[in-house]
Amino acid sequence: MFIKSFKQLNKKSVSEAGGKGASLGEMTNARIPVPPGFVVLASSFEQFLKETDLDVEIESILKKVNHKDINSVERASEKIRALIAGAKMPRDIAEKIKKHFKLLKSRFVAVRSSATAEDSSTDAWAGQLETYLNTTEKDLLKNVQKCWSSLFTPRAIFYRFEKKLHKKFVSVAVVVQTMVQSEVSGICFTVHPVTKDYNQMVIEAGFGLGEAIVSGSVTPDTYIVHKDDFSILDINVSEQSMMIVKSGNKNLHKKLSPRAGGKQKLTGKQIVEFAKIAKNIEKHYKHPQDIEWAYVKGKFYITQSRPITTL
Amino acid sequence: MIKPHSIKNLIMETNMNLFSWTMIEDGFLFSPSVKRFVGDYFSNTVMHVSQDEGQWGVDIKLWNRLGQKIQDRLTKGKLDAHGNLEEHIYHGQIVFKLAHQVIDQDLRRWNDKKYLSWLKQVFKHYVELNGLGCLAVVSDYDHNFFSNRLAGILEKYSTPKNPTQKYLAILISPDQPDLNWAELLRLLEIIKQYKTLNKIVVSKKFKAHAKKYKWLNFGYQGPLWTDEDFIQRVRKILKNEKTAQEQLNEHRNYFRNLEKEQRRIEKDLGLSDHEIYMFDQARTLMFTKAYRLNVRHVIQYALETVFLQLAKKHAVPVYFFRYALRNEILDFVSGKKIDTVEILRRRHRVLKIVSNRKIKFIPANKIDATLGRILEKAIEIKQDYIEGQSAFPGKARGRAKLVFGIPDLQKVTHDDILVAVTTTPDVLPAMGRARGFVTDSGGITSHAAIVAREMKKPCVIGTKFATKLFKDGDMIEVDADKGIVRKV
Repeated sequence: MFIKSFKQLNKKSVSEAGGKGASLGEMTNARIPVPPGFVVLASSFEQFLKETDLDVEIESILKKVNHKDINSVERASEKIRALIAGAKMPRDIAEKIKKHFKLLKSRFVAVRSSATAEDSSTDAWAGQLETYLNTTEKDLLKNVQKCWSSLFTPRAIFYRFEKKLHKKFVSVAVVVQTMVQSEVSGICFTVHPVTKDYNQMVIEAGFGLGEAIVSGSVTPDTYIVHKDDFSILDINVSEQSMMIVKSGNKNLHKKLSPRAGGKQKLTGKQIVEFAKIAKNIEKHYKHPQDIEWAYVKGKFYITQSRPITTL
Repeated sequence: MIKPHSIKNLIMETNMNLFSWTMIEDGFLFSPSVKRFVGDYFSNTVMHVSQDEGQWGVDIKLWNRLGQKIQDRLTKGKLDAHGNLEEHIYHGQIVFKLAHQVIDQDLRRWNDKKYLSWLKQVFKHYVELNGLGCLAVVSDYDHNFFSNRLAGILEKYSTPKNPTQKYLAILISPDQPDLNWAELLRLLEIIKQYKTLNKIVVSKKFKAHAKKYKWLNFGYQGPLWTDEDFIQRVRKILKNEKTAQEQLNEHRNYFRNLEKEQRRIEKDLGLSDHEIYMFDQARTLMFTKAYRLNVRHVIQYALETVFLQLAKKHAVPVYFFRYALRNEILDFVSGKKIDTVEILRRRHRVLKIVSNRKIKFIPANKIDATLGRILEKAIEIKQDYIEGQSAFPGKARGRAKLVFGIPDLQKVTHDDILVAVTTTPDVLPAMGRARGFVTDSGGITSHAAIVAREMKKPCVIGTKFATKLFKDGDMIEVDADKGIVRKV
C-alpha cells in the first residue's frame, strides 16, 4: 500500500500520510471543501530508501554533521539531496502515482511534502518543507522526489538538530492535490493569535495564489470577525503590490497598481460566508485552527488546516 | 484655499470620531438657522482624526471676529439666548423622540428604507441643533470675549472689602434643571426608599433607573454607564455623612436657593437692568450647553445602536459608520456604490479640510505637509515612529539592525532589534538573538509573526516603511502592545 486517496485517510493517519495528508483526509471525510487529491505515503519513501540503499548512506552523512557550523550543514544537505534526486524511483511506486494522477483529471497539481513529524502539536515546521505548484504529469515523479529530499534542506537539518529530532527517524509523505487557481486566497486563524481572543477569528486575504501570503512577501487584507454572531469587527485593506498568478505551468509575479491592489479582497458577505466555514472546521477539530483557503469561481476551498500551536 | 498658518484654535478630544465631529462642524457650516448670524465667518476649518483622537481648528482671525460680533449682538439684544434655547428645545425634543424609537427597541423588522428615513430625520435635526450651539460655543471659546465682558461688569463694583469676582460663578450658573440633575434626584429617591446597598441594587426601580439613564455620559462613542457604574454612585452617596434624605432636600432646593442668591447679589451690588440682562443671557447659554450635551449623548447612543445593526446587516465593521460622512452613510444604506475601502482607511488617520464650505480629504502621504502649511505653529507631527500590526505583544528596546539577506545576519547581536522587509527561515539564527522584530510587509500569519509567537518576542509587522525610516544603529523601541515602533 503505497498510496491512499484523501477519502481513505483521517486524522489518525499522521504516521503514514504526514500531518498535512492526514489532515486533508480528515477534512475530506468531514465534508470540508478541500480540493481532491491523494497521498504518496511515507512507506513509499521508506521503500525507495531501502531499494536504493540510500538509508545507510544518509545516516552516515548526518552523523558527521556539526549543526553549529552552517557550512557543515550545507555540505551534508547538498550531498544527501543529490543522492535522492539521482536515484531511480521503484517502478511499482511510479506506476501507482501516475495512475492516481490520471484519476484526478486535473492538468496541474500541487505537490507538497508532508513530514510525519510535521504539524504535530509540538512542532510547527512553518514553511520548513517544500511545495511544487503547477506540476504537470511530466514533472510529477521528479517533484515527488524533490519533496522527499526536502527533508534534508539545510534549514530542515538545522531544525532537526534544534528540536533534537536528528536521532529519531523522520519520514516524509507527499501530498498530490488538484491545483486551485485561486482568484483570492489566504489564511485564517480561528482564534486571534495576538490577543488570544477566543471570540475572534482573523482572516487574511490576498489576490492570486496563496504562496505570496504564506511566505509573507505581500501584506494581505486583515479581517476580524466575531465568532458568535459573525459580525465583522475590523477590515484592514492593504495595498497589495504584486500577486502570484499561473501562466502555463509557471507561477508569475504580476505587479498590481495601487488602485487594483488596494481593493478589498473579499466582500463583507464573502467574509461572513467564509467565517462560517472556518468555525465549522474548528468545531470539527475541537481546537483552534490555522487554515489556508482559496476562493475561485464563487466557491471557497480549504487547502490546509492545522491546530494553532502557539496559543 | 486656507491661508498659510491661519489655523490656531486646535480643539483636541479623545474618544471621538470623524462622523460625530463632522456633524458638529456641519452644523456650524451648513445649518440654515445659523447662516443668519454666522455668515461666512468660519468657512475654513481643518479636522485631523487618528485612532479616535482628534484635533479641530478654524481660521483664528475669522473666529475672533465672529466672537466679537456675537458678543455685540448679544449686548445689543439683537441675539437672544432664550430664543436660541427655545429653538434648541424644539429640535431637541424631536431628537429625543427619534432616539427612543431605537434605544432598547426591537429593530429586527427594520429594513434599509426604514433606517434611511430615520437617519435622514436624525441628521436634519441633529445638524440644526449643532448649528444653533454655535452661539454658545463661539461667544466664549478661546478669546473669552463674553466672560471677560461679564467679569468687567463685576469689576466695576469691586471693593477691597468685597471683591466681586467670586460672584461670577454664581451669577452665571444655570437656573434650571438639566437631565443630570433629574437623574440624581431620582437616584436619591430610590436610595431613600430602599436604604441599604443590597436592597437598592436588587430593586426593580434601581434596575429600571440604570437602564433608563445608561447613555447619560455616552459622549461620542461610549462607553455606556454600566450597572456597576450606578452601584458605585450609590455607594458614594451612602458614604456621605449627610443622609439620603438630607441630600435629597438639598438637591431639590438647589435651584430655589441659587435663584435667591442670584437675586440677592444683583440687588446688593445694584446691577443695572442691562447688566442683569447680560447675566441672564450668560446663564441661559450655560444651560444651553448642558442641554446640548444631554441631547448629544442620547442621539449618539441611538446612532451607535443603529450603526451596529446596519454593520451586521451589511457586513462591515461598525467603525465604518464612525468614519463616514452623513451623505456617505445615506448613500451606503440606499445601496449606492461608494468607496468603502477609503472610508475604512480613515480610521488610521484622516485630514478633512473645509475651504469655502467645500469638503476635501487630503491623501495620507500629504497630511503632514498640509498641516505644516496651514497650522499657526507646527504641532508635533514630525514622524519619528511607524505603525504596523502587533504580532506578539510586549515592548523591547535596542539598536535597529537591518537585515536584507544572509550576509546581514552576523550584524545582529543580543541587544538588537531586527528590522527587515520580511523574514524567511534563513534569518532564524539572527531572530533567535534579536530582542524583537519589525517588518515592512506581511500579516499576522507571516513568518516573522509565527516566529515571534514561538519565541515570545515583541514584533510589529506590516509597517510598510520600517526599513526606510530606520537606519542601522538607530536606538528604537518596539511597542507591540500598541503596534508602534519609534526612535528613542
